[in-house]
Amino acid sequence: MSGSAEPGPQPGRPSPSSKRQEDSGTGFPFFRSWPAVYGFVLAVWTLWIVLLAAFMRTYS
Amino acid sequence: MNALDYLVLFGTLLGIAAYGSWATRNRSDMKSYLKGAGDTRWIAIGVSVMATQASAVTFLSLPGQAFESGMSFIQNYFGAALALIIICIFFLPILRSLNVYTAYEYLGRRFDRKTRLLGAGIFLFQRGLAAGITIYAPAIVLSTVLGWPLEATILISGVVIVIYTVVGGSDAVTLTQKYQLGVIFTGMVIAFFVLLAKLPADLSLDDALAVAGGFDKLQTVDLSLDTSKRYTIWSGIFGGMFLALSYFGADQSQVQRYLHGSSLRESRMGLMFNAVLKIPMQFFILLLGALVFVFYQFERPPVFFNQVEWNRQVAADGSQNLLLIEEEFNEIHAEKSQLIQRWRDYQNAGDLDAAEEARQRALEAHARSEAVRTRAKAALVAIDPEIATKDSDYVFITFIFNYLPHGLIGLLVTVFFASTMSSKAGELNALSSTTMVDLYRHIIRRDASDHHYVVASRLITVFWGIVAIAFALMVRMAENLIEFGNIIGSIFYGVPLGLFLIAFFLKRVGGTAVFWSAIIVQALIIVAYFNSDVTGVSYLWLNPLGCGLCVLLSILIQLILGPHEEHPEPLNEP
Repeated sequence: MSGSAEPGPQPGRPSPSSKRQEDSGTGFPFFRSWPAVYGFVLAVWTLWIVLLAAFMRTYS
Repeated sequence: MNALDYLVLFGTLLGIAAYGSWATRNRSDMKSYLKGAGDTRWIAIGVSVMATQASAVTFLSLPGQAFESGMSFIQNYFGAALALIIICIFFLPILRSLNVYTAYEYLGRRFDRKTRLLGAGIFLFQRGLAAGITIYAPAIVLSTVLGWPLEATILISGVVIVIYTVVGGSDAVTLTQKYQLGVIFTGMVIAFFVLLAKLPADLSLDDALAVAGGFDKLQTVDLSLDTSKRYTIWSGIFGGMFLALSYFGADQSQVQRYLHGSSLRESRMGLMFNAVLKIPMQFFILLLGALVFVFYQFERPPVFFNQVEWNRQVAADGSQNLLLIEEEFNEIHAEKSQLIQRWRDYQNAGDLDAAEEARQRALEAHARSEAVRTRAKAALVAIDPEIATKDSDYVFITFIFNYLPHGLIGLLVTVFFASTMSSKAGELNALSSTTMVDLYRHIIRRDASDHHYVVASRLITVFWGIVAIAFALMVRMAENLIEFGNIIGSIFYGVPLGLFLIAFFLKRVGGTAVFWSAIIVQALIIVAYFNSDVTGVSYLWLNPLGCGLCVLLSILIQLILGPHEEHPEPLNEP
């Protein structure tokens, strides 16, 4: 059922090359880190829900 | 449909498929065939992820859902953005750094072979089922409306998809999805503006929305804590988040799309593109349905939207009962239109009390017309007990065929076929990769040449194409199609998600504990779904339930078994 463990990248630890890619920035001019990008996406997400609620109230 | 419509339909579909096959004809090694050349940019990933989700069911069924039950279904998508952020933070870096072909390879590395095979097996089972629906769902509607045999509709879309997926592999899927999604959105935006133009001249968009709101069709946020309610903000955020987390994190048809990226950054940006656009995209499609509802308050709708079936049964019904029901429906509709007009007139005059009274009377007339529609369906069943009475999937296409000009009808029918092709190709590609990497290369032929694996992958794609087409040819379904797809996802996604969450966050839990936990919980979830009238739990909650139970039971079994031994599989080995 099982093979033996072999040396290789460990789960949860990105390899050096992908780590470099991750560190090379987000590609967005206004967001230098990924947490900032996620924060922005969460803000937009909250805005959509608030707008939907306002939309519903306006026309109900 | 006339010659112009057919020219638009076949010209667009075959042109995109031929271009996809030609542009990717040189993908001859296994890595580029199954994973792509690894040079895909974020916009292509984002579009590909979106196109794989957006099947024809989305564009046929969602407007019908809004027409019938309002826009509350939008809440189903509230959790998607949260899930995508979690995928970007935890799932993506690990899957990319391990350079895996399928998500289930990671389960083998983290746990053991049997857990990898279990994850791959659940995926192949549920996605194999869903693949049949993806072809069948639009085919049944289109064949009815176009007057084509059902078999012809299934075979045309099925065979074209199989050909270009087999020829070009993963890159052909990504490339064609870009153009297919372009056609889809062009068609839907045009349909939106035509719909606005077809509304009464004195009815602005603002007025139309007020009418839709007056009939409770714009209920987009429901704060109710009642768990038996199908769509609330809570079931949307939590249930929807788990559903999306499972779909994007544990379903190879999505994982394969974003592992394509040339870097971790490109993959993340592609997913964030979807996180931002998911809610407005679904909102727009549902809004079309709500506006079709408004349109049919002023224009007489058919009493039963599957008009081909209705006309067939009217011809067969010697008692003329159906015609009498239709006449009664038309009279009530005329009365309702006048009441709506009166309601608007009072509202414009500023007499809000009289407006509210007229609205209540219009609602009462609407309830009567719905009761007549229910009677019409019962009368149909009395004539033919086999008849499918759920007609909401026919609402949008009936509008298209009756009110759009030729050329645009062809474009909108192209939208339905293109969306079938884009989602089906992504699924076929994922089914093929999983079968090849997790079963064939892993168990059957471990040391063959690259050429052998590419040929085998092509044959496996053909196999899954035939399975999907055969399933679509044999299956008989009637109820709302998009819900059926979501129900399958809710039953079979929770446990695989639990496996991945344990793999990422609970390092002390080993393969044997998660394997048995997954099997027990999956069986429990199936039992819970088929006894939902006893449990009173909406299907959206099955996903978090399956995931949570799988995690808890794994911990419990591991505590009983004691500390586990590591038996991971080597990476990227046959």
